[in-house]
Order: sequence, then C-alpha cells, then structure tokens
Amino acid sequence: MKAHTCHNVAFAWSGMIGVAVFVIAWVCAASVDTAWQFGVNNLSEFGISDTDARLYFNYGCILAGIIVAIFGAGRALNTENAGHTAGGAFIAVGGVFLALIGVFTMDSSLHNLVAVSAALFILMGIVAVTAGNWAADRKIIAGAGIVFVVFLSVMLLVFDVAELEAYGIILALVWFLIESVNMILLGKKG
Amino acid sequence: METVPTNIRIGGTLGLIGGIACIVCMVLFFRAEESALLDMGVYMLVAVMFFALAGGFFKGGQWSWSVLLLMTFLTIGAVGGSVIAGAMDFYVGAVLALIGVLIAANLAMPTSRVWADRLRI
Repeated sequence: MKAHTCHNVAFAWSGMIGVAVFVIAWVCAASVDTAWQFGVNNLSEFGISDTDARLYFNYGCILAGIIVAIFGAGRALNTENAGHTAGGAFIAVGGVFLALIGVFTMDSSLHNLVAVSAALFILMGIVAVTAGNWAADRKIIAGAGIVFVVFLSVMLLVFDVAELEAYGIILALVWFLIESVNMILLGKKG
Repeated sequence: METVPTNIRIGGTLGLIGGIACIVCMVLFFRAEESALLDMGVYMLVAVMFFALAGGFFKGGQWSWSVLLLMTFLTIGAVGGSVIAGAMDFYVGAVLALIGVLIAANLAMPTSRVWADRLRI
C-alpha cells in the first residue's frame, strides 16, 4: 500500500511538470514569434513558423505529450476506481497524440487528425476522471471538472477555432494542476 | 425536532440572494430589443437555478446532499458560461460565481451533509 501511495505522488508530479513544460514552450514560442496573436492565430501555427518558435513548440509538444502520457498511465494504473482507470487511459492516449502534434506539423496531412484526437482524448479523460472523483467522494475536486466541462461546452458554441483552442488549453492545464494536487493529497492520506 | 445548522441557513440565504440579484440585474440590463432576448433568458435561467438551490437547503428540500452539490457546480458553470457567451455582465458574473462558490463551501462542511442526507427528513 505504501509503494502504491509513493507511485501516485510521483505520477502526480509528472502532471505538474508536463503543464510547466507546455507553458514554458508556449511562452518561449510566443515571445520569439511576435506575429502570433493569442485567440487570433492557431497554436499549431507555431509549428510551421519561420522563427525558432517552431523548435520551442514542436519539441515542447513532444516532451509535454510524453510526460502527460506518463501522468495518464499513472492515473490509470494506481487506482481501483473505474472512472480513474478509464480517464487515465484516455489521457495517456491523448498525451501520445499531443506528442505527435510536434511531429506532424500543420503542413502535414495528418496534423488535423492528430490535433483533434489529442483534444478529444484529453477531454474524454477529464470527463472520466471527474466522474471517478465524484464516485470516490472527492466531490469538490470533481466540481472543478464539472465547471470546466460546462465552460468548454459554451466555448464550443460561441468561440472560433483559434479562441477555443487557446482558452480550452488553458482550462485543461488548470485542470491538470488541480488533478495533480488531488493525487498528491490522496497519496499523502494513503 | 432538529435545529437547522447555521451553514445550511447561510447556504439557503445565499441562494435566495443570488436569485434575487439575477432578477434585479435582468431589470437593470433590460433592453426592449429582440437581440436582448438571449441575455434576459440567461438571467432568468440563472435566477431559477439559484432559487432551486435555495429550495434545496430548506426543510423538506427536494435534493440529497450530492445532488445539491452537483447543482451548485452546474450553477457556477452556467454563470461562467453566460459570461463567456457575452450574455452576462462580467462583474455581475463574478459576484454570482462568488455566491456559488460560497454555497459550495457551505455544503462542503460535514454538518451540511449530515443534515441534508439524514436529519432534515
């Protein structure tokens, strides 16, 4: 049981590191490619930028994707809760697709498939882990997921793709931080 | 005869305040235009959700503790979503979301759960 707890905390930290890597890559890419505008240009446009933003974004996606996949695998394997297992598996697959965004850039024919798959798998992961948290009686933490899913649903209706992508990613990053803290608290309790 | 815990009274009162605030804001932001229908409808929807929450706090209320908490989160989501959609003023949305968070905080207390699930029946 003790080893189980330690693994949970370690995987939780990988979620935080994944968020930090993605934020750093985004900030660096945006500061290098000054033509890119928040909510106007797609995030994937960094991947085909003429500047070094291309390197920051593509390698950032690959690294963050691998770390998020590790986080998802940890969430799936270190639990007996069906929601957490399914959600963790979805997040792990979403992480792999996120890494592939760095490989198949916007000029590739596979880019749209990979980007939409990453978003859908991570969204399904958020919904499943939220359901798992609710079932595990961690209802306040689950509440954050419920509120975020309502926000995303409204954004889907009113925002265009560039805005939806930018704000959606910010919401997902915040959710990853909250879920990591939840896993750390669970681990320390155990 | 069980006495109602203070946090349950506060939660119910906050729900009523949220609902009344929505109705007041609907009147304040009223525009006699067809394009304002969505905005007015959103204020009415959120008012109904807050009043329903307030009802859930009172004796003989309609929901268990879990459903009450779920509805609180959905209300906060509806307020935030209305602001995102541009149907609700940002500052009004911030105040209503704060009221929603305070209701959730009241519900998170152990006495609220015991009262809502067992004692009030």
